[in-house]
Amino acid sequence: MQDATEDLALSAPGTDRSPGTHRAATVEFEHVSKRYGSPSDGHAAVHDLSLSVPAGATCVLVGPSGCGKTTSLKMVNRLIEPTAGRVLIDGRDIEAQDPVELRRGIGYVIQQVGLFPHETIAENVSVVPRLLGWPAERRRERADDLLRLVGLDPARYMRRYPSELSGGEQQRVGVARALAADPPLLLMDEPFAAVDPIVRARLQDELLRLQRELGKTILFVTHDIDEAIKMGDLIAVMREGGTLAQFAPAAELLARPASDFVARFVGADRALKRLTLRHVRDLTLEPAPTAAGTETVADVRRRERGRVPRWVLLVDERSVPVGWADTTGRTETEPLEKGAVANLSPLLEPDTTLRDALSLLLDAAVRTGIVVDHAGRARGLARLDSITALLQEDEGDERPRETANAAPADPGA
Amino acid sequence: MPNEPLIRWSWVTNHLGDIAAALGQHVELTLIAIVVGLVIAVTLALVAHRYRWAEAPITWITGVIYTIPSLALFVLLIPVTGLSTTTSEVGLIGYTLLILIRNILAGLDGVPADVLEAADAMGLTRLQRLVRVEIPIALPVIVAGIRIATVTTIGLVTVTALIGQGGLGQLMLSGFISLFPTEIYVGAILSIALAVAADAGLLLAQRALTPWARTRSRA
Repeated sequence: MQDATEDLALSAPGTDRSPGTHRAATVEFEHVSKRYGSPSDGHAAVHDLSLSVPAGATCVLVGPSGCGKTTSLKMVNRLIEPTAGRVLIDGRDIEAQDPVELRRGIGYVIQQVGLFPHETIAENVSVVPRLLGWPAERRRERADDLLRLVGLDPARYMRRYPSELSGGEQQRVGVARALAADPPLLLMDEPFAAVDPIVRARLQDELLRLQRELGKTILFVTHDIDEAIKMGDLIAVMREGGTLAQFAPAAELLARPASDFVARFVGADRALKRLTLRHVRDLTLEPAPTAAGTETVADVRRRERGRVPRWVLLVDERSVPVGWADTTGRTETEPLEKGAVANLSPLLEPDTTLRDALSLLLDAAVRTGIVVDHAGRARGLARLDSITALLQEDEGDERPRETANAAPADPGA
Repeated sequence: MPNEPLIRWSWVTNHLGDIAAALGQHVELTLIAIVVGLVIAVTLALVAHRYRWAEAPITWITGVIYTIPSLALFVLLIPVTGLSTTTSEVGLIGYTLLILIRNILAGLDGVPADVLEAADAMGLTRLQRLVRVEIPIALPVIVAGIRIATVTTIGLVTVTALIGQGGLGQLMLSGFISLFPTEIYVGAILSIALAVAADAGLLLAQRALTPWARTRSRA
């Protein structure tokens, strides 16, 4: 498994040009408040928010509707101006910067995507480069790279209009557009809330992969605690009235919610949720007994030193799984591909969270999943038992919530 | 004249020059009215778009102009500007304003909020947003307004024959006076054809200008 993880870290799928530098910005909120209405009878959308996001981290703002998470996000690119306090990017007060210049250096992704309907996909992802005065050739090359980066074939998509794309494809273009000028900071406001759950999971996985490659600082708003746990290095739980309830890494949030509100918001199934923080690559995989389709039981016996497993995974010349072969009731010389089962589900990737892996295994009603790398090559087998064992292990170290009614955790923690 | 045919073709062939001149004047009066009307309407619509309080008075005033019967308006203008092209153009332009302003505003208001938010967040200035995003997206609705205004104006030009202008309206008027059906029909058929051609031409121009909107029906 070690090998597979390294492969992933090194490969930039779909592109051979470097997708960008590892520039990232820090973001700090210092006692930021936003009030609407008059000082006496107005209401607070955000109240005295202080938190600091280190460069390269993904910070998720999560909370029920009306908790001020989107307002907080929009105060970072000055779509909304705070009533009090200040926001610093890389230590510089954004109040002192020209909003137009500031925004050109910050990627922005929203739920409804907001692509320009009258421009082609190529033009849409080139909006900021055009504003920055890049020459046409460089813009075209960048658009090409960006579309590859988000998994869209440039030749197929460049000249299309947004209305010709599905919701998931549009949001990929939205992410590409936000990354166009290689900004050190991305703001994402419920970016995947409008697509169906399967597409959402895929887009989340791809954003995680992109983020490992690009190392941007990301502020991500969602109302979905599962998404927050999956995406966030740091999670800021906000509550009605725009106050910060807890700011902590995901694991700490699950293990030690700072208040009843956080505990309720995180939900009762915290042990299960903690599986979201672990990945298939963290499991000890079993080696898969593999063979080519043309091989026989005799070949397997020779290779496995006399032992013939009941099931053998058939792979092609590139080690990509093609089927399962049952070795019982076979003659020694019969090719294994004869009567092999083509159903390979579920196929797990090293980046699949254990929570997703668990539900994929349960859905397929099997106890073993095949783990493949990005190129689809078999890497080993993941057993249901090994996941549930982790679940019990986690259960064991769950501490009583002695901090339950204490004040919200130090936001700087 | 019981034996007079609806169209006496010999008259038509003998007066091709006059007919062409009348058609030319009709097109000219229409074009001036639409172009000048569009300049004024765009200006006023942008003011109303930028300053929302201005929308009510602008649509009220242009609405009042629109309700004045055309002949009455032309007659009212004669003491000011006489029997001139100016008189007919002032009236014709006045009638285009309400249609054009309403459609320009409807088009601009129809730009989706998420598109505007994305435009702002990417660092477009207000002017860049208007020119690169809002107006192009509003274009199908704006052109729909230009089509209605053009067809309306082509009809109204015939009325200005009564104040000495009128293009094809002149032919019809003189046909009525001399009880000569050919002139009436030539004027009527050509003005209908002109309206249909202008409408179709603008529709084609809109399709060519907004290929992205082809699947939508906003008219």
